[in-house]
Amino acid sequence: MFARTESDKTTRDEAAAWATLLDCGGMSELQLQAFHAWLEDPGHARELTNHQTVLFLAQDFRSEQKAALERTLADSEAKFAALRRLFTDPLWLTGTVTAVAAIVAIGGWFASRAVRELFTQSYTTEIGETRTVTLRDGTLAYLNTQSQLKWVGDRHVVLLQGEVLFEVVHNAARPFRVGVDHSEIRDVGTQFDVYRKSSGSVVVTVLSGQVAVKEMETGGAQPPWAERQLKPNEQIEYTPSSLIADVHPANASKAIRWRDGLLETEGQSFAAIVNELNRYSNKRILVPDQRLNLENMNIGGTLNVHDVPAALRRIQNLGPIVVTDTEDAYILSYKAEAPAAKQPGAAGHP
Amino acid sequence: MDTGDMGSGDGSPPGRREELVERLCRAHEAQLLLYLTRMLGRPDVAREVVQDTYERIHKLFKPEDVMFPRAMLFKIATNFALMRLRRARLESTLITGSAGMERVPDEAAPPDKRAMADEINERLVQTIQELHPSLRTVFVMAHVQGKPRRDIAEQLGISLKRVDKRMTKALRACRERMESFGIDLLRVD
Repeated sequence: MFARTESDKTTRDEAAAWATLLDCGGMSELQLQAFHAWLEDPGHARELTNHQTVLFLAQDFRSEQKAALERTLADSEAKFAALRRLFTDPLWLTGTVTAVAAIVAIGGWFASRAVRELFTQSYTTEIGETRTVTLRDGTLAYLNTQSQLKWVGDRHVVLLQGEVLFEVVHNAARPFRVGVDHSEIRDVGTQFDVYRKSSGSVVVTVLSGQVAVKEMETGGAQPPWAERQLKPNEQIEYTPSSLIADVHPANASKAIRWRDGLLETEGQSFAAIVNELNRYSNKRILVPDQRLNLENMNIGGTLNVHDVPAALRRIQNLGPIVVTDTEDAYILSYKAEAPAAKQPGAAGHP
Repeated sequence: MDTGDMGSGDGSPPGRREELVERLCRAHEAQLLLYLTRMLGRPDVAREVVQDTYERIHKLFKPEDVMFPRAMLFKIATNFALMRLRRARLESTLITGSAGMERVPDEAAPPDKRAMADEINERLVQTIQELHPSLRTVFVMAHVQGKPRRDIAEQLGISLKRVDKRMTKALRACRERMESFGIDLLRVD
């Protein structure tokens, strides 16, 4: 590393400020004069060009890069919106400022996700929500629907619920660890998906790099299973009762289609598809007839999980199935046996 | 194939090259003029600089050597503007230390320009993703989405001044980080 002088730093600060001002437009005559005087120094002019190059490049991003950056935005915006809502709440405006109001306000602060997360280092998503979180070490965590992830310190997170795709920042000295119940996934600089199903089973899929999965000593009757190594495009599934399947090849990019809001249905049983859709639906999807659950229907293709009614309409079109949209559930049944059916979402889905 | 007077001497057919240059210039003309007017404070001088820039690009543009055509256009324009300012001050046509301006597209340019451009782009995306969320939000809104700062201030519920501050901070951080990757921004175009 080379030492940077104080004046270098000042030049950079100034260059960043001028480049920003230039980008925003509307410099006053006086500012313009000052700017031109500042530019007389060739070193200043060079620094300005350096900063502007960053902006020129940023405006030239490819569409998928733009999309990736805008995804981080949706996440932060939601946080800001939560904070703002807090302040524009009618309670704030009309209520008298009393001790009680203050307590309510503090409660509200904790209720707001952004603030709560700041204190608890715990990140959650609601039904149908996905979000990107940058963890303290720079690792990116993409949370799928109904998930909860907690940072417990020293590159160690715990997946309490749901599914998270990790893009781990490389650090050979300190591996990144994900705890799920009594197991731990350990890795150095890679991309992998961890899904804790509502049943308690855990599915780990590796996209790049290598991870190790091991069970912790629980003090139970069974000894923990041996550590397993996973390479890219490999997957492993294990249950809370220590049943573990062999590491098997898997199409990892298919396993993370949820990041695009899609559910891959090919090769999945009807019950599995309904199970998956239920993760994203505010309204329960019920299949009262067990025969239907056992059926190995070939629905094929992908479903949009962020529009459950539309997904159900597609299922209805592809199989001998009718979807009945009742007050508090979607009921899937065989076509011939269905009651007077209403198309899901047809009558003004919210 | 010799393209002679255009001084390109490269392998691309002259018609195709001309068309690319034309398209590049037309596509960004309004924005370039606005940018230069802001920088120079005088629309008439800005127009002249645009002309200088176009002439330079017509002479030197080699599509296969340029990683970021738009960035190159703006950089050349910036250099011409800086030259103008210096000239006006010194009342002399002597050009001192023009920042990269005289760099004729390198004859022995590395063949893997595309890969290098991708690398630089990816590094910048990564850099932005790693910014502090409050800085990142402002940066993405302003420079990726091109939102006016008034809208940004409103949407985030913060003052214009704060938006400017964050934009400055974010930009400064990006520049620093790109340097730490060993990327010489002066040579990026």
